[in-house]
Amino acid sequence: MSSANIEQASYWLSIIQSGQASEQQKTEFKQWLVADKQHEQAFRQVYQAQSLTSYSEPMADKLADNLKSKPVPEQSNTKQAVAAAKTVKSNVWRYFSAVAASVLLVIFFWQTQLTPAQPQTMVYQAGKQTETVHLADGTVITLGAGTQLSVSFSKNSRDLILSSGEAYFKVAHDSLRPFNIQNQNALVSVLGTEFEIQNHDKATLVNVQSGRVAVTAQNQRVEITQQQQVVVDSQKQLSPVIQLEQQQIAAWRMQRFDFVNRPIGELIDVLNRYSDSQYKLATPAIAQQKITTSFAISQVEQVLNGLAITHSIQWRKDSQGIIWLTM
Amino acid sequence: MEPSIFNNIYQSYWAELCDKIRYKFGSGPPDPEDIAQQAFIRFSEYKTDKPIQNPKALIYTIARNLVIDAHRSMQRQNNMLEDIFNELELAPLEQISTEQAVLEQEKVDVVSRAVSGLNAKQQKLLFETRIEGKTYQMLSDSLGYSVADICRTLEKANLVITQALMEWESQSSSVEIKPELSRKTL
Repeated sequence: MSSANIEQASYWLSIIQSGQASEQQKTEFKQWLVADKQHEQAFRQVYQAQSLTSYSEPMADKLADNLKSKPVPEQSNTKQAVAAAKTVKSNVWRYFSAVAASVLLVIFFWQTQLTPAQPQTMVYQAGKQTETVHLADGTVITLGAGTQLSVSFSKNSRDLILSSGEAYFKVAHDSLRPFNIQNQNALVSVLGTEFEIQNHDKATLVNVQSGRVAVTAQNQRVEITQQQQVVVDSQKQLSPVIQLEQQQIAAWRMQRFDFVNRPIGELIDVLNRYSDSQYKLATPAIAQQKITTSFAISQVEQVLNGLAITHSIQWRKDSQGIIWLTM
Repeated sequence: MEPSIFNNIYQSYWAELCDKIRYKFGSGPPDPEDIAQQAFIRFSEYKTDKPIQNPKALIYTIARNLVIDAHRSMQRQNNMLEDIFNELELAPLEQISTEQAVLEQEKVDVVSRAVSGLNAKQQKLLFETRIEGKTYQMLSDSLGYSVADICRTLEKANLVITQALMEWESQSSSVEIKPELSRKTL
C-alpha cells in the first residue's frame, strides 16, 4: 500500500472526525474513497490503527492518572442495586465452582459466614446452550444461552436479578419468602408458580405457564395467570395482557423460537446467543422492523432466506464468517 | 477450558487481580470486583488455537480493556463515517472490541510503542478524543488550539501509528513465509 494513500487516508479521517467537515469536503472524501479500491483499504488501515490506540498502554496509563485525580461520582440506581446484591462479598470467604467442561456455566459463590440473617449471592452465567440451575429452596431455573442471573436468598425473601437473556422459573412454594426477580424494566413477584422472563434491549416479556405472577413497573402493577403475557417496554410501560398459545412459552428450552410481531433486533440477539455464527446488521434500521416467525435453531438459514422474501432483507457471509444483513 | 485449571487460576489470582485493578484505576466505578468478575467470565469464553502462555497477564489485559470500555465515550463522529460507508454501499468499518483487542494483543503492543513515541500534545489530543470522547471544538475551547491545528496534529499521530503497524505487519508476514522457520515451528 502506498504511503501517499495512507497519508491521504489519515488526512480524511481527521477531517471527518473533526465534526466540522463541510459538505464540499464530505463529497470530496466520498469521491476519493470510491475512486480506487486502494484508497478504501488505506482508510480501513488507518481507522483500525486508530481504533487500537484505545486499548494501548499509554492510554490506559493516562486514564488511570485521570481517575485518581477525579472525585468519585455517585452510583446510578442500577449500580446500587447490583452493589447491594453483592455487599456480602467484602467480609466473607469466596469460592468458585465451574461445571462440566463442555458446559460454560460459570458460577460464582460469595458465601456468608453462615449466619441466617445474611444473604448469600450467587451469579450464574450460561454459555451457548440452555442450562438448568437447582436452587437450595427447590426452585428450578432454566437459563437461556448467554443469560446472566444473580440469586440472593435471605430469611425473608428470595431476590434475583436477571441481567441479560431469558429464564424459565419453576418456583418452589414458600409463603414466608416471596420470590422477586428484578430486571432493567420491571419487578416480578411470586410465591410459587411456573413462568418465564425474556430480557431484550427494548422490552421485557413475562409469560406465565401456571399460577399467578405480579409484574410491577414504575407505579403500574398487573397480575397475570396461566397462558398470559405482559410486555414491559424500555419506558417501563406495561402492555395489555396477552393470551398465549401453550407452545409459545419458553420454547427456547427445546431450541425453538417463536416471534410474534417482535423487532428483528430481538431475533438477531437470539441468533447471536444460540448459534455458532455471528450476526450483524449492515443497515441498522432493520433492527426496528417487526417479524412473526417460528423456527428451530437448525433452520436459521431458512429464516434468513425468508427475510429476503418478506422484508427484502439480504444476507451474506464475509471472509471472517460474520453474517451481515442488509437492505 | 478445563474447569480445574480455571478454578486454580481463579482461586490464585482473584484477590491479586482486584488489588491490581484498584491500584491502577482506583476503587471505581466501575467496581474492581465487577471488572474482575467480567474478566474471568470473558477469559473462560476465550478461544484460541495457541496455548496461553501467561493466563494471569491475559486476564489482566482483559480487565484493563474492560475498564477502558467502561470509561470510553462513544465516538460521535464515527456515526458520520458509518453513514458515508452505508451510502456508498461499502462494508462497514471494523469496530475493535475488548475481545478483538485481546486477540490482537501483538498489534496493540505495536500501537502502544508508537503512541509512547508521540509527543505530549499528540498523546493528550489522542486521549481526549479516543477515551474521553471530546469533540475537536470542545478541545479547541478548553485547550486553546484551533480546530485546524487539532486536525493536523491528530492526522500526523494517526499516520505515525498506522505506519508502525504496517511496518510490523510486513515484517511479520515476511518472517512467516521463511521455510526454515516453518520447519522449526513444526
